[in-house]
Amino acid sequence: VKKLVLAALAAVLAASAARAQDAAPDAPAWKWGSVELGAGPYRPNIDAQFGGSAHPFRDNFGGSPAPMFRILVGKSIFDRFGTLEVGFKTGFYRKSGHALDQGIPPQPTIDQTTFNVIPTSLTLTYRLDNIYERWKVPLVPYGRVALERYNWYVTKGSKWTQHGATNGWSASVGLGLVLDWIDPGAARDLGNETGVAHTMLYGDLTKAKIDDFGSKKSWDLSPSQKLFWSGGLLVVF
Amino acid sequence: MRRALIALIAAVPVFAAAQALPPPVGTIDHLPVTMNIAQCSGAAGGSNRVPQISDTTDLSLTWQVKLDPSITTFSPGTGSAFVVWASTSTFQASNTTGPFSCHLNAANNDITAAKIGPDVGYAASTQATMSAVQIALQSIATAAGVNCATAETINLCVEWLPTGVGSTAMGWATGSINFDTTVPGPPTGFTVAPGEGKLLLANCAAGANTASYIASATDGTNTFWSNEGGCSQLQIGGLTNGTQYTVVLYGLSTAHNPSAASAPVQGPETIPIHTVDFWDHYAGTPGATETGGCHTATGGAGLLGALSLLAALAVARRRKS
Repeated sequence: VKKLVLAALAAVLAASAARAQDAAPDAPAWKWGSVELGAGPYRPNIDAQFGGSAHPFRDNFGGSPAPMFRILVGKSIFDRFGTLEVGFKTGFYRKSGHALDQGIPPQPTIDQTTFNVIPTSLTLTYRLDNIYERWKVPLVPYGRVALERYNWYVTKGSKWTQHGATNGWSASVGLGLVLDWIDPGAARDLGNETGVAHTMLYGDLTKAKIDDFGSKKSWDLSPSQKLFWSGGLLVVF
Repeated sequence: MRRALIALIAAVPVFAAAQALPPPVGTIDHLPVTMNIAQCSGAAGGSNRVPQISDTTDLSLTWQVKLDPSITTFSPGTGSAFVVWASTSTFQASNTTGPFSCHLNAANNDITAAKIGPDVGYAASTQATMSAVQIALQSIATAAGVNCATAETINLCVEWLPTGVGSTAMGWATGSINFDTTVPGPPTGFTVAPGEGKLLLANCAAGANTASYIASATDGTNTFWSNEGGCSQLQIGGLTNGTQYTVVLYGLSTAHNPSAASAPVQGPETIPIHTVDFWDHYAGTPGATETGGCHTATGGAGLLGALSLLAALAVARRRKS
């Protein structure tokens, strides 16, 4: 497998080098920013605080994650070597389950309950997109740090029963696959017509701590996975 | 067969201008498509009538009459009227040749149609049409001599009287409505599960000719009803936790005739209970820390605000440069 990956990488680099000789750099004079649409499987780490003695989240919602959808709008503030962006990210997560009866142990009833999160983030992203613009290598790494605020609410039926917000931070590393590389001519046309500089598929890994910076009055909405992965589409313009 | 005579004349302005014409066919459309037993017999309903079912008591008629070919311009004057007839016999077979009135089929000359209710005054329409005339379903059944026990096809006919009642009809349209007496068999089983102030039904075993259901729960004093729907949609709300209810289920036919009640179900499963949502469950767990609202330990909210400010300043500075 390692050999195959290395061979594929070598092929991409070789093809990229050939293209780089053929084509002039595609970097626009100035990039305004980017828009990112993505999703990843999320499950809050609420039960961890009970050390295995209780698992209220699992009791109501089961153990499987649900998708957290995110949208990010970033504004470019530096683009001389790579691009530095500040951005605002938001999204939505909902996990539905059954309210419980008061038996021991409690059993699911016909009533529905949901746990909902509207995450908001202030982000600082550095994307090394001149790797593609100068050398036509279609894999663009990036890093991101963010301050997070997870606004949450709980419902029973159609009524809100509790709400609040939990703050935290996150740090991500990711890789974008530049789709322009597949058809640079079409990408140039798209850029001329719409101002889109690059279109990428991306995937990233995030370490997040959403526990009100260690407040003893808060629960832990960090992803239950050590590293939270997500993927989506990124448009730079 | 007797004639029902009710008068309804809508006095409205008349379009005097000549209109191009005539409609190619004479047709009647109506809603509802069928008439059920309760609609036939009026608000009192039949012996199985479920009070929660509130079907319309009126038939909404829309028609477009076929005009006599001698009419080259359609210019109805004041006093022009439509008259609606009902009969269990058919009206003229041909819709394209005269006479253009609600004459009965020649083979059934001994059977007369009954005029339904009112003459309908001609509205300010530019065509030989009329929209959404409401006529009581019970009056249609009465006019046609339907006994509300036997399924029938009730034929409808509209004729246009250019200069009012008594003048020669110069246009007509026909249609029909089915009186449906199909009564479903009672449901033979179902299950009930309790929730917060409600009961949810499932696993309905349908009787014959069942298209949908409706259920009720009674505590001996008050009766509560579900919405009408499929078995998975039957929820009876507004109940009191801890109170014993008796639940029965009815099947409904496509025409909304209800079945007899199913065998009643009563037990622990028909007592609504308090249920615990996620927040209550979390907060009731020993060791729970979250109390709702916002409470950052080290000024995280302030940190978010500070970063927002820094970001805004950075953008502003970049613009200036």
